[in-house]
Amino acid sequence: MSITVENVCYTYGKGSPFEKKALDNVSFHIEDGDFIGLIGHTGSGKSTLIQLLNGLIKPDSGKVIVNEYDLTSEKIDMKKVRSTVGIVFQYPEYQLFEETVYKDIAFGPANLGKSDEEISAIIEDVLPLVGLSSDILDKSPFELSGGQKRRVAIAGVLAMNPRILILDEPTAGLDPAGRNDILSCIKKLHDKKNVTVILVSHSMEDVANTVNKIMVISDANLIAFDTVGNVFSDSEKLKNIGLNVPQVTRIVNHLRQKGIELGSGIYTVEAAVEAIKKRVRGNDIC
Amino acid sequence: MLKDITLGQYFPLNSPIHKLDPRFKIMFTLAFIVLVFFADSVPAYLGIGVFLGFVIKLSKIKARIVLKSAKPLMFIIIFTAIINLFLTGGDNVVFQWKFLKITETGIVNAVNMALRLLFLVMGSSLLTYTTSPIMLTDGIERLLSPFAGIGLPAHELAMMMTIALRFIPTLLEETEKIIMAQKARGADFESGNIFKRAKALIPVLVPLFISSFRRADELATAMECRCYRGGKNRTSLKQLKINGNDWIALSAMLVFAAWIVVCDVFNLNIMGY
Ligand SMILES: Nc1ncnc2c1ncn2[C@@H]1O[C@H](COP(=O)(O)OP(=O)(O)O)[C@@H](O)[C@H]1O
Ligand SMILES: [Mg+2]
Repeated sequence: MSITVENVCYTYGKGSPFEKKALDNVSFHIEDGDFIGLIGHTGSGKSTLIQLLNGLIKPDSGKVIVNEYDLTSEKIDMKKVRSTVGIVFQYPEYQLFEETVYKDIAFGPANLGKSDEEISAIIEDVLPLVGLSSDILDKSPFELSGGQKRRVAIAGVLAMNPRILILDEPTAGLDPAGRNDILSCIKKLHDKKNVTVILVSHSMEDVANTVNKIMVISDANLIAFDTVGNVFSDSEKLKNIGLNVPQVTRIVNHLRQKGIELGSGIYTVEAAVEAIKKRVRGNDIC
Repeated sequence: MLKDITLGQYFPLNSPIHKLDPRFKIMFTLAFIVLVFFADSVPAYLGIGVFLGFVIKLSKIKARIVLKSAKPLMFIIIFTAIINLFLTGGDNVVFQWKFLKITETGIVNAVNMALRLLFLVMGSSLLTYTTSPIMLTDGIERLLSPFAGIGLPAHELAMMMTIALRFIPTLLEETEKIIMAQKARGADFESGNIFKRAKALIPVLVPLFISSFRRADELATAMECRCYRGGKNRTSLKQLKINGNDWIALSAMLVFAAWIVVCDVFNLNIMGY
């Protein structure tokens, strides 16, 4: 399931006083099974880009090809596209509407024409993926906690069994524990089912811990699309567009300026801990 | 797209019309609406057209946008015109097919109603296009304040309006987001008969209602936290001041009103219309 985007432009409110160019000539190619982090400032065009990837909006110019589907053509079967590319929107808990959690998760697969038996099997599959137990299925989604609501909403998208999963800031507004839970669920999903994942975020830490490749978008333009190491090694470039490398990397860089070399390529707390341990053991200064 | 509904929207531009005192603008709009219903001849409609065109030009808002403001009401306008077209009696029958009969009076009435409604929508849209919600409610509050003595809650009414206006774009945006999210879950809003389509709206309306209540609740809390206690002894940050431009606008308005009244009183017309 590869995604190819060619020279895509998108403008909101064309011709009105509120005209706003949200994407400017963006091109990239994503391979099957990739785990991509899409980072950029608020208003840089991240949400716009992902809405293009399952045909919710059409580009003004350029091409979007997902697998064999050309999303810019008129004759495309949108149901197929929607079941291939699942999008979990920002604050997905605000889209819950059914009386019970079960019915809400069933909404997607039912729209795809799945039978009742299939749906109950799907729900059984999906619940553990998002770390929910089956005793909440009969509850109203509105009586759950914020984190639980979000998992239910994510389950509602996973229930459509997408081969490409896009999540728009899935950790926004969650406490650190909830954030880590959701991120590890997503990682598990990617590793187990080999789903192609695009994780939109503006938290460098979230991205550094989970993804393989990073796409940086700034002011409607694609600035970089490379491995985590390559993107975070150019901290100047990130700083110029108002982003930053993860906090630990900044600390490591500061230490390097002070003459304490821990090595390069440290983007996660775990890696930093290892490097410090190694160094402490190597020349026991402590 | 829902975003195309511009009714009640404000376009922040810098123009003489934007800078007029909102009290004047509100009164002008009311006068305009009344005058539009006096108009029933070609010269009067020409007068309205020229006046409206002039104001649009001055306001720097694209004429296309003002015209588009009538789009959501097109159905009502056309419906009214058709009702007038077929249901007006008269002797001068122009067209007859079985029981359907169009008379000359019918045509005149239909055109009259359609034009009046069109001008009415455009005129009142211009008010909201060129006046920020704050200014608008400030103006309404000040205009209503003389009636506060007889128990009219002028400030509260104005505050309710501000909040309602303030949330129109927010709700539209929210609706669009929810529609997108449900579409992404395979919801289909475009096919099926009317009942199926109505049912397809449930996944949009339920979250929308819930979030409206949530927003209302949050707003009320936020207002309480800032010790909002209604209108008593409140002053505004921006005091409304009447200046020269307002008097010029008033003169223009009077000339326009005079023209409509003259058309009406002296039955001015072009070839009988
Ligand atoms: N529905 C819309 N109508 C008009 N402008 C929009 C709309 N959605 C987004 N924008 C504008 O497009 C730009 C990109 O927005 P978005 O893709 O949501 O950015 P991000 O998700 O990176 O925060 C922003 O400047 C935003 O204000
Ligand atoms: Mg966004």
